[in-house]
Amino acid sequence: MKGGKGKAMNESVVIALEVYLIAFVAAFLIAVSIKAMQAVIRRIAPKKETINEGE
Amino acid sequence: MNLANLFQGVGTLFYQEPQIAVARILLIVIGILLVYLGKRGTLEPLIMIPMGFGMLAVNAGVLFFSASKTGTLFVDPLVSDTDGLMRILQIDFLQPIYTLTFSNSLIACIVFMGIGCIADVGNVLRFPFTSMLIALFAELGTIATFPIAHAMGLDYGEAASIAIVGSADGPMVLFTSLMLAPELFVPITVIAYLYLSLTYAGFPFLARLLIPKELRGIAVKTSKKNDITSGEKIAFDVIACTVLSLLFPVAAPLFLSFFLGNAIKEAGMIKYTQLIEDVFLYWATFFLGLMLGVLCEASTIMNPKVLILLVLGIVALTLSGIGGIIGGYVVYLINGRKFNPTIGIAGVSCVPSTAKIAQHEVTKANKRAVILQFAMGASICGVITSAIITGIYVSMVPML
Repeated sequence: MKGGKGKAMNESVVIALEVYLIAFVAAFLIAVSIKAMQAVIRRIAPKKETINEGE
Repeated sequence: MNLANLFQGVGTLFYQEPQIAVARILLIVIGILLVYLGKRGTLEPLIMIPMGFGMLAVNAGVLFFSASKTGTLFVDPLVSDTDGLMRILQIDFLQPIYTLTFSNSLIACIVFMGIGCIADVGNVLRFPFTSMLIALFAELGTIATFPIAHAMGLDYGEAASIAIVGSADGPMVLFTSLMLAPELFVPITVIAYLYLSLTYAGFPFLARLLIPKELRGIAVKTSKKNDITSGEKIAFDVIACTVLSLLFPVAAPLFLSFFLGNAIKEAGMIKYTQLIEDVFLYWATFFLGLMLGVLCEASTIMNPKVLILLVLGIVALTLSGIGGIIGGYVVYLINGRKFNPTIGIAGVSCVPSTAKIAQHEVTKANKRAVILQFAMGASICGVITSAIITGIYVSMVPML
């Protein structure tokens, strides 16, 4: 029984760590995409945009 | 004349089991208390006043449907067959709201769209790696609470749903619990919104406890070179929505809602922005609070798991706050001790509350230190990382 509970606990810890690792990778991917996107936009449109709020 | 049949709200108290009757009276008192605390501003009034009224009315307004069955005319969340649903839609006055906007997470998505509309992702684009790192550390509660919850007897779906309370994001909690633990979504979501209202009170103490005054007072230099254009912000919205939806399609409605709301604001579509902020967001917030209150019927709340959820909710939020501060310290060390670790608490994505808390604590230590820009960046990234973790849990848990 104790072994079963311990095993279930280990399993849930492993699952939690997997979730965290995937989240780290996805967040890092987003951060890299942001930098890449900014580099591309600044190359294509180097002028500063002004926001026209309109009416 | 049978008085119990005439005044059925009172009569049903004597007909039902004593535990249910006591629970009803207790929930009426709690409902009154929520209204009072909402009016005082101790808890968020936008949610607590409708929730309090819903809670007290649903527990007071119980009637006899037949000689052996009691119920209310508010909502029946358990009806699932088509004929029963069509019948109840014409009888229970909040049933259309529940069936058409609540149980399918539409209301959570509309709130998220409103959050997207008021968020400024510019701060994320200025410091993407710093903000993401802090936000990831601030997700400690959503990760660490999962095995703790499972060890306390919850299954994987329930454990993930209560762990998401650590993200301090109400729509996420509602979305996750509807997908993974529908039988517990009412207590989980009510607990989440109650605790989120209390973060304002608790997090400042956590910051003061874990960060010495001299570190809280560090002023962070900001560079004025990187002005972020609206085009960049919209491009970010498009790319992030596409990438995240590709990775986690189960949470695509949430990603669409947030990034669409933000893109509408950045595109300068004032009428749509006003519609979402002034109409949709307040409509959704009002009915969210009211529905949560009305769903707090005594028989729903009298679940032995509720006590466990009460403990785990506070564990999740506390661990997230601690994790955020750890993230702040990590960035402080990486940046050669020139970063304010208090910013870490803003990674817990209760936008904009946690960012304001961080700035308030910093100002108390050093009146000239302004860190709001970094704090808002971390907060908005917290929303994004919460959505990512929600997507992972909702995709992964059903496969376990």
